[in-house]
Amino acid sequence: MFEWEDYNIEQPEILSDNSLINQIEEGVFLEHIGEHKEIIEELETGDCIAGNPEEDMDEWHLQTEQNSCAIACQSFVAEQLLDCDFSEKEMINHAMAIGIYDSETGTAASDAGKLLSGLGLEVEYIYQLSLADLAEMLECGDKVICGVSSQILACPELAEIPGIKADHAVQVIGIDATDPENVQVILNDPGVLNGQGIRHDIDTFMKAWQSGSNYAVTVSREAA
Amino acid sequence: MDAIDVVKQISRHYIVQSQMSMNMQLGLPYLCRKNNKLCMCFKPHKEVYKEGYVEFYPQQYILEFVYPFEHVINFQNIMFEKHINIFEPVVCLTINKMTGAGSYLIGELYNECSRVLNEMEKNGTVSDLSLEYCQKAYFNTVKQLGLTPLYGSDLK
Repeated sequence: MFEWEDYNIEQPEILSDNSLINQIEEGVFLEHIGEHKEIIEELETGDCIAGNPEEDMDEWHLQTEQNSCAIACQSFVAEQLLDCDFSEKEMINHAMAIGIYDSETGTAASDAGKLLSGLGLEVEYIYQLSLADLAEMLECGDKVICGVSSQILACPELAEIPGIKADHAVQVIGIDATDPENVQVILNDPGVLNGQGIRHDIDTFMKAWQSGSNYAVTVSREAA
Repeated sequence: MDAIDVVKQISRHYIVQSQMSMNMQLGLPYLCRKNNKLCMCFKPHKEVYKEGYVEFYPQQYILEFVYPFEHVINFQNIMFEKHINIFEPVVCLTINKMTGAGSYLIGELYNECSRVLNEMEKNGTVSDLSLEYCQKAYFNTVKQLGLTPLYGSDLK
């Protein structure tokens, strides 16, 4: 049984020799992923993926309760950053004990990272995060949970209807700009059966994310 | 003053972000006069997309703001006031209806709301006629889309 009070955080790994970052820096400008239609100026080498989706998708699982998407996302992130198994059931029990989760109704947006704060991770809550900043965070090894509209992700035509609000939490694990004409966002979506590393085109993801004012919970290991 | 932007801003309000679960939709905006002041009222509820249709679940909260919609005048978690079954949808709409008639009617409702808000911004007050048109648009949208089980009707 995992004991929250006894958990010690290891030192963060150094990313300066990350070959993926070097490869991307050679003529590929991820900072231009601000407007998704003006993304890549020059693509010289192989694929161009922000984040580490191949590894991060290992921690995906289907959310165990109807309203536990935010808890599930936090379990993904906790496992990725702390290299330790986390049972969503245990996290649900803890969240209920501290009053930030109700099985019948779910999690409030402002509580979507509190379990991770409790584990000693550095958590920030941001509105209006740009895609470029999101990509940069993924590049740096940070983990990001985004508030999105599940309706728009499933049916992009619904984005035309005014007033739809973000209602679901997903973890963004990668942005694949290998094909500049077809940039894709890679998610761990706990709410769908095929949510492990599920890909959405950038237009659909942005509409779904914008419904929540580009709300994101960013998580990193605490600085040494 | 665009009603879409106002509702988006309301979605970021502290009450919405911290006191309601994130899977709530605010629902259709209803403009009315209370205590002689312009108010915007919502019936937050859950909506779930299924293959080909959207399920609408019962209203779970009462949420009301007074112009310029920074201050909450009424917030209530209805689940603590009366028994409601939040596990069964009260109405379902097909995607075709949502993206067809729904998109048009809800778009028109937001246009009417924007007219009222612009009048308020310009004159500091809103005429009864403007408010009446807006409320008619609200109930017309509810009726035409078959959302009366969720929003109620204007029949008194």
